[in-house]
Amino acid sequence: MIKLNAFFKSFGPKKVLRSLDLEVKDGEIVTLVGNNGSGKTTLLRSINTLDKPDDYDVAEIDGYDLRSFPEEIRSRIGYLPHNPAFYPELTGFENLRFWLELNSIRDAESRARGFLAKVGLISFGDDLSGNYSRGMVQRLGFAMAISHTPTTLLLDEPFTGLDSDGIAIIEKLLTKLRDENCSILLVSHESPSYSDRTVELDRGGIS
Amino acid sequence: MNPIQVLIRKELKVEFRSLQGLVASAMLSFMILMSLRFSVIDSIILQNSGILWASILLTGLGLVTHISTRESERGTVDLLKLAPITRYQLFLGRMVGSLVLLWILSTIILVIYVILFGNPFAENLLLAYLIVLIGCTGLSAVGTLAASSATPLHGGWMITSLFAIPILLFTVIEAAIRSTDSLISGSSDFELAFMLLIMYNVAFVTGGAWLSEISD
Repeated sequence: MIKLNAFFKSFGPKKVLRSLDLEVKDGEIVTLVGNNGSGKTTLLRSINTLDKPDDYDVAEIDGYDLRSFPEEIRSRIGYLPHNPAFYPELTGFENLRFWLELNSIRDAESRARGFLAKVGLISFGDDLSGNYSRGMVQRLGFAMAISHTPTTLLLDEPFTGLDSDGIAIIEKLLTKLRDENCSILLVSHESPSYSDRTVELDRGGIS
Repeated sequence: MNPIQVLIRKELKVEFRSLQGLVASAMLSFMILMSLRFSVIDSIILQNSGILWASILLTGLGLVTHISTRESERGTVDLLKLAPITRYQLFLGRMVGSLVLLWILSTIILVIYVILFGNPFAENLLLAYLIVLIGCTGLSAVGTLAASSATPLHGGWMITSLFAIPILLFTVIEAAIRSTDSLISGSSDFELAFMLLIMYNVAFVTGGAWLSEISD
């Protein structure tokens, strides 16, 4: 569950998020829309602790405060950035196994293979990720975001570069995760049909 | 597996698959040592170990900066920061990963140095090698900390050097040069210089870990 209340974030004099209030319940998919530069990515990066918020009254993931429990927050969040980054010298499987091991997940090898299969990359798992197409990178990024069983998913335009098969796979996984009580905040230009709610980020706040 | 071990293994795998940093740094060391070998003639400089340490400092720092810059440019540094590990674990993992590569580089540099300048350490060569390995620890700690702070900035490579070289020069490198020079001259300063070198290394590693944790 994501709970933000009076959330502020600025870059120098530019105030990006102003007294933002947002709640994403367990088992809910919320789509966040907004114009370019409205602060959608900044909001996701502030929630996942990559950027520091300036101030807030409440900022919690599953009841854990963002500032007080950063490691706990990170273990609960799965994040798919707009441009997922991997080590091009490592294979898709090795990148995913590295991520799982960093998250102290047991059976990282079998789990990595399992998630590669889920996103339709199993036959490309032993190829260097530097040779992946944009769509394959996106699939690997999604596998990485969900592989450590997060309770909260933050997805920044998850369908970028995906073909119709890829979109179908991700959509199926998203609805399955929602059924498993995962809170999902999805940044997109269009609200998908299975989204429970759509909110718009405008002038630093939710309108 | 411990997250620090995971980070070290990743660092080595990434470098050994591309060899970008190690080969370029080793080549640069060779060029520096060759230039000095043929430009400095009949000088006391050739009889001491300053040249060896100048080469390790310049190319070693370049290697550490390259590793950090690579993470920033690719955006994989965000991947590391998203992991549920403490910042000091992240620092130690990156630092020790760089250190292992630095040890390989400094071994190559020492071999080139001995070939080009003879073996001034005589029967103390192994002890000199140990000092080189220990000296690399402080270099890796300061370099990793400086690079991780500076690489997100424009001209981060340069800023890292500007920040790290003065700190290293008057601490780790000076103590290391005194240690290896005393091996060459047989002076009684060795123990003091060696203890100082160890102290600087401990201070930089613990200081780096602490700064990483509080700067988050």
